[in-house]
Amino acid sequence: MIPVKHIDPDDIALYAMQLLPPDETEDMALHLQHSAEARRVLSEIYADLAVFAHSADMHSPPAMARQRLMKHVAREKKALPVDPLSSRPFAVAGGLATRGASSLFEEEVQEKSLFAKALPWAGWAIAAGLGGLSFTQYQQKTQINSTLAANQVEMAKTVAKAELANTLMETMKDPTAVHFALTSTDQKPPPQGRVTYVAEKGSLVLTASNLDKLPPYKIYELWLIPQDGHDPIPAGTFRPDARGFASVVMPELPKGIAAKTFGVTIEDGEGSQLPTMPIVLKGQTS
Amino acid sequence: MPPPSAEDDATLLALVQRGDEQAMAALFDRYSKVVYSVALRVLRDPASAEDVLQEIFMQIWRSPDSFLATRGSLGGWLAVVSRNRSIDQLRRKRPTEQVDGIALASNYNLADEAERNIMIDRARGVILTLPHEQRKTLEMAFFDGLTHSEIAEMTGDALGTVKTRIRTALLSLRKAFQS
Repeated sequence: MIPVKHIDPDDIALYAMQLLPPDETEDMALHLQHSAEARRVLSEIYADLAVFAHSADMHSPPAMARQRLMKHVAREKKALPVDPLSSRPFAVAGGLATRGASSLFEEEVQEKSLFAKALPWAGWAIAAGLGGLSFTQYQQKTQINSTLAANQVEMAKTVAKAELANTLMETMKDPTAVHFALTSTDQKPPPQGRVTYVAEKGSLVLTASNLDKLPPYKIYELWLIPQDGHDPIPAGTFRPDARGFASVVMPELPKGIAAKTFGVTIEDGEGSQLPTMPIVLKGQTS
Repeated sequence: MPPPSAEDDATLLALVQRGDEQAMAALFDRYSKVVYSVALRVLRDPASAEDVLQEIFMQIWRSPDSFLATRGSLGGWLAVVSRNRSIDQLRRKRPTEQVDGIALASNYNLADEAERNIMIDRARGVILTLPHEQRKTLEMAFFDGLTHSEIAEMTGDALGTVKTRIRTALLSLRKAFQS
């Protein structure tokens, strides 16, 4: 017989959301190991939570997110060995969940073999020892994975910085770069901007001057207006310095978008996905 | 081109296991929006949400076998993991792994974009029918990562009431979906 503490059914939902205190989490994990019915309830709650998660407002990730992921993926290109630790007991919960007759909140009785009857305490001791060993190995593995992941992130950041610097130089020197001069109809003082954009590489540099100061909750946003008539694409936000000077260097842009022109608007907070009129700076090919 | 199906998720994961980058890109195209949106809802910061997005998809790339073992819907699973990872990030905790191996009893084929969109619309509709207190309590627990004690403190409700409200909200959600 496996002793199991009384479990409040409401706590399974809290466990699924990782909201239980550590001691209750341990009790629940133990209970789940021994109760197929509890595992069934938990998997239903996960399904409910998955539905609830889909009620969040949907936003597409930044355009460069896919490229960044694929870069990381390419960097870790290797034959991945099958990790035996990943075959955790819960992985087969669906298969085990057929024991529907067992009660969620009653102790489960397991048939003991003759050997187990003869040596109950020895069995428990071995099980505890193996459990402890497995836990230690799992902790070590988790720690190594964390360290490895942190190193990879650092390396990726360094490489990204170097790539950015190279791309910046290439963009400024590229003979195929198209230059846009941004001017305003406002005559005093006239804000000006210059965009250098290489469509093929999706690389862009904006420098702007004489810009008006904005309240703290407002921000300038640059927009790429595609030649094919599609919606404007956000091309970076910026705030001018005390002298009204600002720049945008290598914002996240998809490659291969031919620009009809560029524009600058004033947006709330950290920027918008759609431009808010009026356009304060408008582009013309120079 | 045939519509994607749950089998396609398994096929793509098997290809990822063999180091197929195109399969990885296909999984990203299919589920990145949901993963990113859930993370953004929790973290309210695009850069942090993208960190979670990258972390989860790199986990798929590194250990696709652990995803193959989950018997439920990959899309649903990823939505829950995105939420949990985001809450971990809010709490500055190391990622916890308790969800990763658990099956998800979903009847929805989230690999199919049309079905996924239908479910999103339906989820939003059903949630609006929940009593305000239930919906608010569930949102505080799920999207804000507040414990039942913290919710009780903020709302002035009894601990037991908060716990029951969360469970009842989930049951109501399930019932409404099944009807």
